[in-house]
Amino acid sequence: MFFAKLDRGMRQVLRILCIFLSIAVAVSMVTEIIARYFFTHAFRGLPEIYLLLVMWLYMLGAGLASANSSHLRIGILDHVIKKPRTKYIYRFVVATLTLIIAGYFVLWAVGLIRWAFIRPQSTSILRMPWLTSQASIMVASLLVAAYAVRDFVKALGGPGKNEAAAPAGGGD
Amino acid sequence: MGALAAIAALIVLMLIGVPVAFSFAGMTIVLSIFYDVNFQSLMLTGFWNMNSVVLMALPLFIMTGYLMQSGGLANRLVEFIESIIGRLRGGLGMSMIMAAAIFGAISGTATAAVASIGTLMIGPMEERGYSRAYTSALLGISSLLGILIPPSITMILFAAVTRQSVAACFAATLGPGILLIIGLCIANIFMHTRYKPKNPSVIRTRTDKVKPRVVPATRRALPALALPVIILGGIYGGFFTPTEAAAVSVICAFIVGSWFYRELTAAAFWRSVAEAAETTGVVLIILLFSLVVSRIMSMERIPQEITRFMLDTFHSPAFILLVVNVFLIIAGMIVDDLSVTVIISPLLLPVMVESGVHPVHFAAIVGTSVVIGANSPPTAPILYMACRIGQVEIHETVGPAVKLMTFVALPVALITTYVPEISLFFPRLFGLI
Repeated sequence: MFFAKLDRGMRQVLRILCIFLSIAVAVSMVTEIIARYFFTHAFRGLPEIYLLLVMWLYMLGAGLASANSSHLRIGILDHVIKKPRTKYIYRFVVATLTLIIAGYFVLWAVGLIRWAFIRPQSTSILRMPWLTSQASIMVASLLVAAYAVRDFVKALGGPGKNEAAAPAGGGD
Repeated sequence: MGALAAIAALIVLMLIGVPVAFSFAGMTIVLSIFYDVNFQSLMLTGFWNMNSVVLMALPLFIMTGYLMQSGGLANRLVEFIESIIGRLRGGLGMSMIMAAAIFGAISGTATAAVASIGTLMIGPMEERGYSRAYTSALLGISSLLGILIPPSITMILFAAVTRQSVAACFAATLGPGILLIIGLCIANIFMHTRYKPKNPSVIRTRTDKVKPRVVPATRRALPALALPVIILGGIYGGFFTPTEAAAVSVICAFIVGSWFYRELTAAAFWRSVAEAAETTGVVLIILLFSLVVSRIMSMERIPQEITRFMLDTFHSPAFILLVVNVFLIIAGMIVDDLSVTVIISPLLLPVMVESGVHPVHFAAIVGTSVVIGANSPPTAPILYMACRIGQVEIHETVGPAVKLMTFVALPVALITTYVPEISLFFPRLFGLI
């Protein structure tokens, strides 16, 4: 019950953040074009801000896709396998592999953040630390790993109970 | 050896149903084990490659596609095209092809075109004697015009991974796109009466001709038609970069949907933006890992090894082109179009350059091959989606889809490959190469 509420709440927060970031990216870029063409004025540093925003948009978007299990999949076996027990084993294997790979993603992201602390770098105009942008990859890795754990627990549920962990199939 | 193991891991992971992004991460794991790569540097490579203004066009064009769907732009465009060519023989089929082309000229994606045009047109087409199986196959293939008619998400990815000009890659697929439109229209004239609806009682009229009502339909569609003019005119007129054009298209789609057509409600807007962000996340996380994979492969000089192998084995450039074409189509049949573009393009680019192929010409070769792969089972993501929208079984559409690919898409791919002028004409015309 608690985890279901947490899941719903997280999804809502991610949706709101993604909406805000999307609008901010589009508006800031159009503002720059208008300023350049109509007022012959260039906002120095604005590209640094929208690059920061868009990186968070990419990564939180990926987190939202994990929350909604909407990552692109090709899985053909899910359509072919009919026996419930075989399907259960198959989905368990897929969830386990996804979890292991998500674990590696967290490790790589930790490596990135550690490097950002060892060799701190900042943007050239606004002097913003690149860490503010790189942290989005860390957050995405944690979100992806958390949802991989959720799907793994669902896959453990037993034959017929692990539908939520089912690969969606098709590539849409 | 390491590269082969990594590619095998990627294909196996994808086929068993591990999400594509995680399959690429799995490929990265295999490569980093084989080549003993410092794992601290992996994400740093990905980050610096992703931190690019060029790539920002992706989320913005994806958002435009979603806003067009919910803002009522798609049905005005369909109505306008029907009013112009609907009266011709096979007019509704041709309208579907042209609608997909114009939709592609705004949103740059195939999936948005399948969902919007399929929902609007398949029912009315069945009532006029078109079979759902044929219509779904036609929809699947014509929606891929979204990849060929600029702007194109696939071409943005190609340009990002091969470090080419986005505007040049957009222009390169324009010629093949026009060829595909002509080919599909001709094929439709001959094919549309061959497939009858399963249930003949749904047919309301024996003619597929639509009453001409050009003036009111044009008036209603004008705001939506202004979008491709602004986007393409802006890019090739030198007013904006492709990324800026994408931002302008978002604002224009919002204004047209909410003020002109009054269909983009606040709820629909929030939903569209959130869905677009989710789709962006799906694409960009794949790109993050594929950029890391490409970096490891280039550090290990794998593209150069492939080039040497190809040049030593197949001495004729024409034969190398054929092999590359077949390879791209087979790869497209196994994995999705994004994966083909981001992984195979940088691997094969050195071979192509050594064989005398311009990188921008190669962009068009990849684009036309992806059209075939995305509609070929077993994977066929676009054909599956068209079948879902058309409510038909995949096996029913395979027949017409194979015919359309054999007689239209494949010849277009071969012409694009062996007649470079088809893809280089527009980039040269606009002074991009």
